[in-house]
Amino acid sequence: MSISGLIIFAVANLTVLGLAVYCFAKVFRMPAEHMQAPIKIDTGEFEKFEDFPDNNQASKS
Amino acid sequence: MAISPSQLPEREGWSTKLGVILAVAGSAVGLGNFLRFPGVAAQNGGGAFMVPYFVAFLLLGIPICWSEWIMGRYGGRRSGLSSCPGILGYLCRGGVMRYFGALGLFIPVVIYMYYVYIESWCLAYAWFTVSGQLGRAEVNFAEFFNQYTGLGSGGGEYFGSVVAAFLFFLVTFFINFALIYRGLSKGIEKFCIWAMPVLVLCALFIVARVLTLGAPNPALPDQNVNNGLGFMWNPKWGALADADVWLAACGQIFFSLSIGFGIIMTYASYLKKKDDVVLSGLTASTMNEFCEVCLGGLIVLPAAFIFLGMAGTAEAAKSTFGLGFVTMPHIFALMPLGRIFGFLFYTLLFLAGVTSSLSMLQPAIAFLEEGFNLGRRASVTFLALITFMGSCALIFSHGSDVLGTMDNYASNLGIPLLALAQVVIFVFVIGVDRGVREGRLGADMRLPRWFPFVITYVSPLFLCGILGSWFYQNFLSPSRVEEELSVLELNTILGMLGLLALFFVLVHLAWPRMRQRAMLYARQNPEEAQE
Repeated sequence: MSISGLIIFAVANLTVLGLAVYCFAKVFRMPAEHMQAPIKIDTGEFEKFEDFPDNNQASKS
Repeated sequence: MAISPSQLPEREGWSTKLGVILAVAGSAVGLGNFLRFPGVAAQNGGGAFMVPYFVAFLLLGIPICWSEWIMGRYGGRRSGLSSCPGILGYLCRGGVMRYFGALGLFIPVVIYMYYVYIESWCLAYAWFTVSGQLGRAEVNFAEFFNQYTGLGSGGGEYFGSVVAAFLFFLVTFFINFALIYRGLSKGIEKFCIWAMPVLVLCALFIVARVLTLGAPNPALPDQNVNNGLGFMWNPKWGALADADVWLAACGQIFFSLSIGFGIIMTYASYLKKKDDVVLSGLTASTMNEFCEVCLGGLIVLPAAFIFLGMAGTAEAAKSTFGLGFVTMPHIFALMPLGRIFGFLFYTLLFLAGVTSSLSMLQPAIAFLEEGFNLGRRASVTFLALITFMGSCALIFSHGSDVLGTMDNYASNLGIPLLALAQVVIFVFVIGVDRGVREGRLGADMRLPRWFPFVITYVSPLFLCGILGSWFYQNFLSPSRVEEELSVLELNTILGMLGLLALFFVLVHLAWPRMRQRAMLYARQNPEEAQE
């Protein structure tokens, strides 16, 4: 391997390795939290909601 | 028909942050990291290839990856929808753009059909290597591969038919569906949490073996590790002036990171408002790069150079399948303890393949669940039937035309097209400012300042370049114009068009239910729907 090849090899591998170590160190340093699906609440309302954008278009047409 | 709140089932979700990162990384890390990347790099300037490669990673890979994570969480948390048609339909207010979401179902399903077959080759080669069928230098490895896959004339010394290939395919297909059936957190996430470290460990063992090979043949002292690494990494700076080298780097980054499939969007849709997307996206992409550059760049080509020399390696690097299933078995047959290291190598490829294929059907499963109110069992069974038929057509067609055609249209054309649609929606429908604000919610690191400029102007240009290159190569280049489509190619194209039409119809039929579901979800989860 030539000197320039060795330099590129070292720079490319160290860059990727450094980035990986930085990212995983940050991920593992964060407090462990468990993700859970939202609680289902039965509101009894389901037919028409004004806040859904498509409803406005439908009512105009 | 209206759906009632009691019909709104509890959404699936991730158990841990590491789980979602490893699942996305697993989706990205595949056979291409270990077999395609070294060949592409060696043919496009060696070490010099790393310059356009890292530029493409920064300007194309990371920005599109972040935009997909942001869009997925934004659409998912506000609408409760997870499929590509659902999220795109919600973001575009039910407009025509939701039909682009059909591509987000079609592409992964088609790729799954051939990917799972290639995955089964890895399982079979792991078995053939450890059982000694491949561990002998006198084996004609090219003929072995052709007869096993049915690509040769059929009936020969090693395999009389594709029955063995079909049996290994059935095992691989069953493993995949058993894991997919278990669900997002209990199946995909749990598998990726142990499979990814095992995969990296296997790769590290093989890297250690390759780097300590020295010059195994005293008669050929030039065929050593140092020169093997030089073959891969010595830069040919003149290549940087060649536009094709830059396009090759964009293509490699693009397909390697699994962006534009709609898979990341689906995975991110299960996250909540306070869950980070910026660091998670960067970590998953970096893990893919680690597997590609630090592991993939040190195994295949240096090992091939040590045993086959300059000319043999240069020839082998031209074909991904040739490198993986003809050259590498030959090398393991010549290598001390080759049977063990060959088994580790094909096991690592198999794990890389499974972690990728597991993710491919999740968008379609989510679509069937939310669009037709099917349970997971029914959705998985429906998709198992469709993909099984497609894979069988590929296996028993005895030709590489089918695989090449599926890959060319679904992967090389479909993925950049869907990615471009996603970037356009991110920039013009969500808006870059709102997208950046969304990215900041719960972020464990800051989005860089250059992100809005790059995602608005640079990434779409790169994607247009990749699409333009595809159209030139397929319709305008002199070699392609003179070439006529074979019957198999034509049938494959017609089959894919039929499947695409089916997904368009399903998206059309499913939209009213998805819309209603989104309204219901938004009302039940007002805190998630807030800006």
